[in-house]
Amino acid sequence: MSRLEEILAPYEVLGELGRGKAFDRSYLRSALATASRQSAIAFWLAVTAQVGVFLLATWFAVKNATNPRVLGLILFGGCGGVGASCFAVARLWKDKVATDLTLALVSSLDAAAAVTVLNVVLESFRGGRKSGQGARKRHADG
Amino acid sequence: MHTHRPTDCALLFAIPLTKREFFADSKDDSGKEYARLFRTQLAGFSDEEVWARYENVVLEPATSVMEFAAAHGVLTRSRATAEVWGDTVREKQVVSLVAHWHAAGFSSEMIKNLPGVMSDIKAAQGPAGRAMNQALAVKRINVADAEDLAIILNEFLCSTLIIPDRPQPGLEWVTNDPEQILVRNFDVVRMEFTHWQLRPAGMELADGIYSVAEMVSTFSSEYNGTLDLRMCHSVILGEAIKRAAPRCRIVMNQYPIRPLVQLPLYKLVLGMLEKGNYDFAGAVMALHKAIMERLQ
Repeated sequence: MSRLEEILAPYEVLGELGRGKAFDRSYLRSALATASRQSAIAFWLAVTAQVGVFLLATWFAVKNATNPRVLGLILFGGCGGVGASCFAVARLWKDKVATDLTLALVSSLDAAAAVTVLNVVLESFRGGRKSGQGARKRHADG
Repeated sequence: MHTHRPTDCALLFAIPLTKREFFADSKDDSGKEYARLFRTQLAGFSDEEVWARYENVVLEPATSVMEFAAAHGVLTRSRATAEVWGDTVREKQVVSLVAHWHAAGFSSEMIKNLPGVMSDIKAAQGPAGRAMNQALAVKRINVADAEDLAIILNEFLCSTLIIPDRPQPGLEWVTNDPEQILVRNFDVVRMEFTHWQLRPAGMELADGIYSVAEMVSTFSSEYNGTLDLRMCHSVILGEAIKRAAPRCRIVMNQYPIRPLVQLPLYKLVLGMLEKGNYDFAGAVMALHKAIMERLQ
């Protein structure tokens, strides 16, 4: 579970048989701000690592330009490393944007609207809105 | 100590278990809260998406446990009303009730509907008004925002009893649960500020929301059955019933609960009753003990 999911999970609507968790704006602001800073650091570290892998691969490629077999291995390995880190960077960017957007919304919306938004964010984080699965139809309708 | 079997038990559901019931209850004029809160908290979702979520987290566990329980001889009822509750308590030794607890306290909507709330509190002479006035003065802010005012008042009402409990001969009650304190204090506020027309805390059954006093009136002082109150903060109702009927046993909880967790646990309890030598409350405690040991 990502840090954003951890922070928002207590506000997930799961049919609690009572009032549910009280909306704590100051806690959410503080936790989301911290998560935003951490995801920014992780993102830039990942970008730096990606650039580093690229430069290292380029340097080795240039050094072994006359050896086609080694050159091929270096390019293959370098492309693989850069490609894999692209996925990590993209995921970290998505995380950071979602956290920053959630922080902005939590700070400006009233409590009822904010809880709705938190559930929308959680839902989108978990792969989009799906229709109910495995529900028993006998009691479902009517 | 009694030994209970599943055939001694009843399982009542007061929460909606069909799509029609759910959306009927979710209307503003339904007088209900559970479905309305569920719907409001997912206001950004379509009706179908809300229903899909409700199916996953409430309906599926509920249907599963009802079928399981019925197959093991438990009396099951959906859409439980106050009359069904009263009849079942007289018929079965163990009655489990899955219902929504309508909590006490202020909300920002309530504050917005009470335009003179600050002036009423400042002018009050009774214990609740003076205590709330002092709590607001300590904060030293001019609370104009309804949400902030509701939060501050609720925090204060959860802290200490405005009017301490009267002693009950032979018993010592320790009221330290914040929700219990909130309910007691909110009742004092309601009695003092009658023109605010605040609704008391209570249990939502299929035919409306019933206060603790109304629910307790079902029981004579001689009642000696077992009640299993599966709703959030059921210590509030449970304690009140226990005061009225000291010989009964009540399984209750202090914190919020979710059907997705509670209902599968009920199945396990039925399994223990079928195979073992337990009374219902003993089975619940043994199960929770086993879970806690496994988690450590």
